[in-house]
Amino acid sequence: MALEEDLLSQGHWPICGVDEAGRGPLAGPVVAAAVIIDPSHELRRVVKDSKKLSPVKRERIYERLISSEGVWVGVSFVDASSIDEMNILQAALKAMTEAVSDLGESPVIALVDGNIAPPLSCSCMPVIRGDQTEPSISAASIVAKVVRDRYMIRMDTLYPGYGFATHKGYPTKAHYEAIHSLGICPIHRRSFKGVG
Amino acid sequence: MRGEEIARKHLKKQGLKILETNFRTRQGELDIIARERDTLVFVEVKTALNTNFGNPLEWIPLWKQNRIVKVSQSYLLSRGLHDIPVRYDVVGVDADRNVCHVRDAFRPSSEFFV
Repeated sequence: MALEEDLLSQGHWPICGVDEAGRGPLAGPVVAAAVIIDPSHELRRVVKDSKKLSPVKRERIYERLISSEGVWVGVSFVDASSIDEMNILQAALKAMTEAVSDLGESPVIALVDGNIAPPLSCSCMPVIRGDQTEPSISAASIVAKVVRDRYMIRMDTLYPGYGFATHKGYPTKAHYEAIHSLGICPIHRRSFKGVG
Repeated sequence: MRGEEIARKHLKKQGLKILETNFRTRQGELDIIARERDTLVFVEVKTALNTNFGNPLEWIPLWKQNRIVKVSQSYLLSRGLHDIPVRYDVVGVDADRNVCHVRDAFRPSSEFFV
């Protein structure tokens, strides 16, 4: 049985999942999401294996997550200049802390993807590969990814030429070449290798 | 407020009942012993992490985990507790008084079961 089901059956409620998107890119914010899903909600079965979802399916599930009764979603951005000031790990932790505070409901336990634990007013349990095993972490990873992707697509119109709509700021050959010919723009992370 | 006090307050707010603090044997010390429902929880408090919350498994090195497990076994014996579910938590308190409570932070390594 997944850890989350186990904790729910022991009576722990609410439990939120937390995940982040955008630790690797050369540009743009790191985005964290926190999601609580009601124990009996059908979306619990839908969000499994977020990594295997096609972008279209991911978008559809995202729409359902943010509009469903019985689902609480919190999101937080930490922008490129703050990432440069703090370093990416601290920025990701800050985003996670803020995403949990952004939930409309206070969780008693936060299941966090990976092996990091952000400071929180509830207790937390880091779960390695939790986005594959725990429904609420899967949901959080879908939200963080979709929100960040949409943001980067908007940034492509603001800072055209870099290809943000395609690579979303991740280090691709095209992205490095664009930095080389255009220089950097305000959403680039100057502290990252190959940017500053 | 000291780190352990901040940790205690945080745990109480989480619904854990504090049973004892600073249980000492010759082998070492347990910072906080608490109960959550039917589970006995041994809590190690790690203070002054600056703001370097991150991988909690790196907060408590393996030798220290083993020592905590040993002392917790002395505790169980001294209180005559058998067959009670136990858990090992870690609470990090940083310089800005941010708290990170990791449930089930580590488990006894297999040698303790032989």
